[in-house]
Amino acid sequence: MRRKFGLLEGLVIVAAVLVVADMYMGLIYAPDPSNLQTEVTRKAQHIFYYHMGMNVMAGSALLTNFIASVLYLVTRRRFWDAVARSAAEIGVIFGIGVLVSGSLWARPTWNAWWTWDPRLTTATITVLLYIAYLMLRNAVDDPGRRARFAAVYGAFAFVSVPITFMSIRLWRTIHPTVFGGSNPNAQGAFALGSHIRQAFMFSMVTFLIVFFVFLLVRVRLALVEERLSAVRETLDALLSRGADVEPIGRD
Amino acid sequence: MVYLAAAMVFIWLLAFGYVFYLVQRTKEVEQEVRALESLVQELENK
Repeated sequence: MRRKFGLLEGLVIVAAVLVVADMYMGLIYAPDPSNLQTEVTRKAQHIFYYHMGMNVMAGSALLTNFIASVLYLVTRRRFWDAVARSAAEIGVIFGIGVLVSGSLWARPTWNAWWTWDPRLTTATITVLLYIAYLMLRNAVDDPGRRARFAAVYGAFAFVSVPITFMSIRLWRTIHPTVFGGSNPNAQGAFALGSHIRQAFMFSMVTFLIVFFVFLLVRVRLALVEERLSAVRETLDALLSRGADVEPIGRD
Repeated sequence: MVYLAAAMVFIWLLAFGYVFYLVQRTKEVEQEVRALESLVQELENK
């Protein structure tokens, strides 16, 4: 039998090719920033392209979760619940990626894997809030109640995202402010030359495309799973009316 | 730099491996839905 190659697989492959190109841009094309003092901090700065990319991806996912949660509360359409759930999963995975990549950069630059800086603290709280969101979803059995609770929680939890974004502008912190402001206390800040800017822009576009592809794949599975439960319910109802068929096994 | 490249390759392999698993799982569930829908149809026509 000929295997059908779908649009979704095509999009995943396009995303994978972009990711390979992005690795070239961030690791080879982008030069070491000249204003950093030591060799190791100059090399570590290349994490920036992926750290910021994952940041944008996690931020977009949590914004999508917020919008989908509000839309679910307004329309009560299960589609928005599936989008909110899928976006939260992506947000948590790449939120953890932001924390890990930041920690890898901090070790050579700040001489510490971790510090309770306002940005690091608010980012950790955000990730924990969305892990709790996913746990809440698993704790409620009734699909309608689960979707309603999760939507209310998702709408409120999003408050942590702008607080995390603004934390380096509002409080005294050692985290660099690369865009839209300067931070006199920052350690490891660097100037954006033209090659660094190009690599950065390429990275942002790549991560956004990867986010949309991952979201599409996850939402589609969530919708198909919902259809499966609906068909199973119909089948159970028919079987309980005494239809003459063999029982269907469930995995 | 080599460690950073290796770490990125590892992370992306995991991420895309998971996404391809999701694509495969979607296909399997779709197949199951089609089978059950035809069974429901058959029962309703009885």
